[in-house]
Amino acid sequence: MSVEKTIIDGSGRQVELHESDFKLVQHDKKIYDVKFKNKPTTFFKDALRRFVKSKPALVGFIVVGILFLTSLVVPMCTPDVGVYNVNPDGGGDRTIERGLVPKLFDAGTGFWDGTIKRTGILYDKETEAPVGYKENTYYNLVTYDRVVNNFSSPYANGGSVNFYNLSTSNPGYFYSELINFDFSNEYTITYNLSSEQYSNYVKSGYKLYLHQESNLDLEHSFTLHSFEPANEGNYESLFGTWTGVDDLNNEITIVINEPNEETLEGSGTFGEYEFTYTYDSENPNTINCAIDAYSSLSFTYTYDSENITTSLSVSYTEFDLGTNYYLVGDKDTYETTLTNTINVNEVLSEYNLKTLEADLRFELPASESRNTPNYILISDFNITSNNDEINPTLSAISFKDGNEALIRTGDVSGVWSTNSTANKTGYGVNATYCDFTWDQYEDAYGLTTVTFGPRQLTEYISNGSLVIHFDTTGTNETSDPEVLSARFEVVDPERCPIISVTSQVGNAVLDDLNPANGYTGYQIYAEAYQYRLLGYDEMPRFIFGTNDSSKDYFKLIFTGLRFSLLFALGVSIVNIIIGLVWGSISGYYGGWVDIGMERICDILGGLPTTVLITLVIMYGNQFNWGNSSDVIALMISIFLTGWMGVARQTRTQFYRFKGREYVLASRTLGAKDRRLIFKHILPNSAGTIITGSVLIIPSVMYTEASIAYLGLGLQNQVMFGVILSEANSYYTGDKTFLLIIPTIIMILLLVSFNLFGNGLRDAFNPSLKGGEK
Amino acid sequence: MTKYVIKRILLALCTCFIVLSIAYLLLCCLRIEPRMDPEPGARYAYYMDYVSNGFLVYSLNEARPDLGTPLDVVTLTATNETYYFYQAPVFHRYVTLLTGVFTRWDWGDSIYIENGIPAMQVLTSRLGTTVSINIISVFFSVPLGIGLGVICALKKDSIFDNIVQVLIMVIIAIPSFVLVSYCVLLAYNTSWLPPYFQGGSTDPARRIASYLVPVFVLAIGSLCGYARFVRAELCEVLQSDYLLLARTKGLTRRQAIMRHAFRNAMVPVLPSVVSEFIAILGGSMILENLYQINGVGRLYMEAFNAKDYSVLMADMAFYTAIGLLASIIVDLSYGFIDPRIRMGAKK
Repeated sequence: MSVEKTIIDGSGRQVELHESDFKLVQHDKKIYDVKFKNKPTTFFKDALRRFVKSKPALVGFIVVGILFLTSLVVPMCTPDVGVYNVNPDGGGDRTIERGLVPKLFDAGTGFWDGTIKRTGILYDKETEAPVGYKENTYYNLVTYDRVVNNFSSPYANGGSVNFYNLSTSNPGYFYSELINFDFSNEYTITYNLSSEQYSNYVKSGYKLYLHQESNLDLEHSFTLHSFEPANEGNYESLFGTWTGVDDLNNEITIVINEPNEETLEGSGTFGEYEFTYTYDSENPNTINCAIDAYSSLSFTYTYDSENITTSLSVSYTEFDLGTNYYLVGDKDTYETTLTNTINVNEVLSEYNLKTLEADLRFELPASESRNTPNYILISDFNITSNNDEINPTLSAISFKDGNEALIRTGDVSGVWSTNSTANKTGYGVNATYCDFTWDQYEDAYGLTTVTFGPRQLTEYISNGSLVIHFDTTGTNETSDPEVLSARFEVVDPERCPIISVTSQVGNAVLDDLNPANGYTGYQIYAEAYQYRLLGYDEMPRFIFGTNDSSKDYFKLIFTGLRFSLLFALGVSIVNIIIGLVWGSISGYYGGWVDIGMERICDILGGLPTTVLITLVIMYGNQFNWGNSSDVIALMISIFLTGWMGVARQTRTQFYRFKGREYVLASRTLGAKDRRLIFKHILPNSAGTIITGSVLIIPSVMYTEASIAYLGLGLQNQVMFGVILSEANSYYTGDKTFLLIIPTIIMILLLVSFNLFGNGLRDAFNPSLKGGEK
Repeated sequence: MTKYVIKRILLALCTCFIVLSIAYLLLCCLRIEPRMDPEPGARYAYYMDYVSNGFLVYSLNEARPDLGTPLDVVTLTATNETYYFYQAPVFHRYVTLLTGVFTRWDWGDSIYIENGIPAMQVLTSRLGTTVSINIISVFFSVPLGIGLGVICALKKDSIFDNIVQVLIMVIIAIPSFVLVSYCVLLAYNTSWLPPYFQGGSTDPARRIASYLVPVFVLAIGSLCGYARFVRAELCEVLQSDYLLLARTKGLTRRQAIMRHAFRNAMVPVLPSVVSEFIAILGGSMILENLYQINGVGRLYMEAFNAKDYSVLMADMAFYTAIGLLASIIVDLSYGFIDPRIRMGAKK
């Protein structure tokens, strides 16, 4: 071993280098012939690798995939019956199964459990239940008392009657039923004019009186004969002074003055009243007068020239407002008195009344405005007498508190009414309210009382699930649970929904004429689960709830989504193919070809999508393309313009790439146009084009939703956009989920599509990614 | 460039003319629905509206076989005159419209929406609301969008930037009708937003409040678009060699960004602002319908439902003109972005 060289290394040691320490690695190898150990990759494989690496894109793709798969699977999972029939004419029971909220978990979980929070529901203290809710459908009940105004209810108490007058021109009345007063008895009225908790306000100018109804239109007529003409000796007309006796045997004098010759207006007196009239020269013997005291007054004159007798027929109608006997002074006398005690006999002593049929009436003067009406608050109203026999009728009219007076209806005695311009509500009424969680599914599908007739029961009898023992336990109607449970024996609860029979109405009679019918003539009331009656095996749960036409929203949405996605997919594929071919030709050749093709594009694309669809839909309606005419119209209009986006993008890409050196090189080598287009330029621009194409699918769905939203058409189609647009009226109340669920799915779908599209773009064109990094 | 621009504009005018001609001829070909009213007077009035509009013609007392089968025959009992109503000959109708438009700017009269008022007048009376909403929204979206984009570009890849990017992506993906629906949902469940447009309200607070939803909905979409666009442009410019040169020259980062990067990044943004403005003017149709705004978009739906063809035609003309204008500006803006690309040039 010869030492070639001796060197000193960094730490000062001497190192000897021999030739044998070194070896030429590739001395005899032909390295230019060695194949790459890694596999060659294609453009698309490379893109796929990059796509998988991009997490947001993958998530987007997975979400789109899941939604798409769900929409394919869900519509096929359940048979098209009842709630699960989501076709336009389908749907479950329109009253029971309508608008159920989403339910995924058991009730009581607190989230997505088919319950609704109810607040401020009136609470019935006697049955200890919220008013209007079925037993067992509510829990987490919290009750609280409140004092409320403008309210009255059978489940409330206390307070006073707030009687107010809305009219600005007429007085308002609050009056009782008719009372037969016999003034041999002593009557006392007490009442309170404010509420304990509230203001001591009493409106001045209210009146309380006994109002005697009278015959409102009294017709009077009589004839007078004694006549002194105004012009001496002129008996031809009726002008002059008439005297005589009227129908009530009172002396009366009527003076009719001659009318003014020009205006034909005249006047006169009727007893103590004055009247005016307009003379009708065509009908000179009859005069219709205007008079304040009566509602009508007319004279008819007859003159017999042979016997020289004159007569004047007089008829008038007296409008009688009834007679009022005031119990409290009307002006300011009582305005500060809150508690009033009135001795009726004493107040009315001046009239010397023996008996009187009258109602008690509060009167309020006309209000200054409708916004601040005059009002009084009446409570503790009592009318009593010293005669115990008539006291029960009087106490029926009395009321302790306002609520009690207000809830009386027409079929109970002691009703207080108001006239049409006035109104009455409760003031300071005590009511109990409650908040609770309401189980909507229990309400819809829970235990309920059902009526069965013999015919409905036949089904269960014939399949052996129900046995009726009329022969051993009797046939008579009963509500004794022991007898009933022995008589109606449910053998197979799997097939017979009856839980227990609560009563039988009508005696069962054996049909002698037709013994095959068995016993008839009775009905039973039985308890059963509603869901059994509707044909479910167990309590159903709809994870997206049901909509207003009682359709399972989950199935409806995904059936719609399936149609929309497949529709969009099909339409997109056609559009992309047309667009690619069109855009390539237009972009590659340029010049006049391009200008010509672009003009066609401009013309078709110049029509805004909405306009185009409007026109096509209008023609669709005209030619009557059947039930799916709108869908066909939508398809045609998308075919007409949808490819333009892809075409435009392709064209732009062609402009970008066609001048590049590699195209020039290829052309110099003799490549044909077709090869240049499809082999060289198109793959290079594939990234942008594919990204654009992926986004066509959501844009088709968007168009569809827009059409439905604008109300241009597509109603009644099971399409996702249509479902979305139908949901846009549920802005308030319990059914906002009908709006929220499909919009969330729409957002999810569009966001995922965007992520997916962006991922694709980056994968196909990594250089574009650099634009942002 | 000037020649190119002029050429594009002339071509656009031609396109506009052809598009509207086709739309109008298609409208004219539609059959007017005969009215099923037993009262001849009502039918007469109904058809006469179309006659005054030119869509129908009539002949008195004798049939005109040359006009085809009559749409309806109305005999007025009062005068004992028989009217034969025919669909007007399409091209005759077309020529009448052309003469009207080119000589008097007369697009026909409205027959339902505002009976007897010229269609263009109906359109312009509604234009104010639509344009005001759009201008207000541009007023907010442009500065906010550009500002947001610039901040994101300068703080690229920071947490703020990432959050904003995700938000922008989500908001852009949300369709406008969903956004309007959510706004209305919010309005119904709170008291401070009006649930429908009350732009004509006498209460100024209510009037301002009712602009909130439409302006928000229109602005948020374009705001996100601008932010994304500006961010991408500015990021690209910030990476470019000439900016590095500017820094090497001794400019501070701020100076370099303000003088070189920002200006250059704005060049392609500005034309897109104009085209975006025009585009949202055409895109607010759904918003106007959902939020009950009495603008041009709602007018379109009213005219469609009432079959008021003159108004529909005027509205179509408006939307077509808007669409073409936007596409011209977009095409021209390519030239600004990269002068090497000239749309429509030969191969």
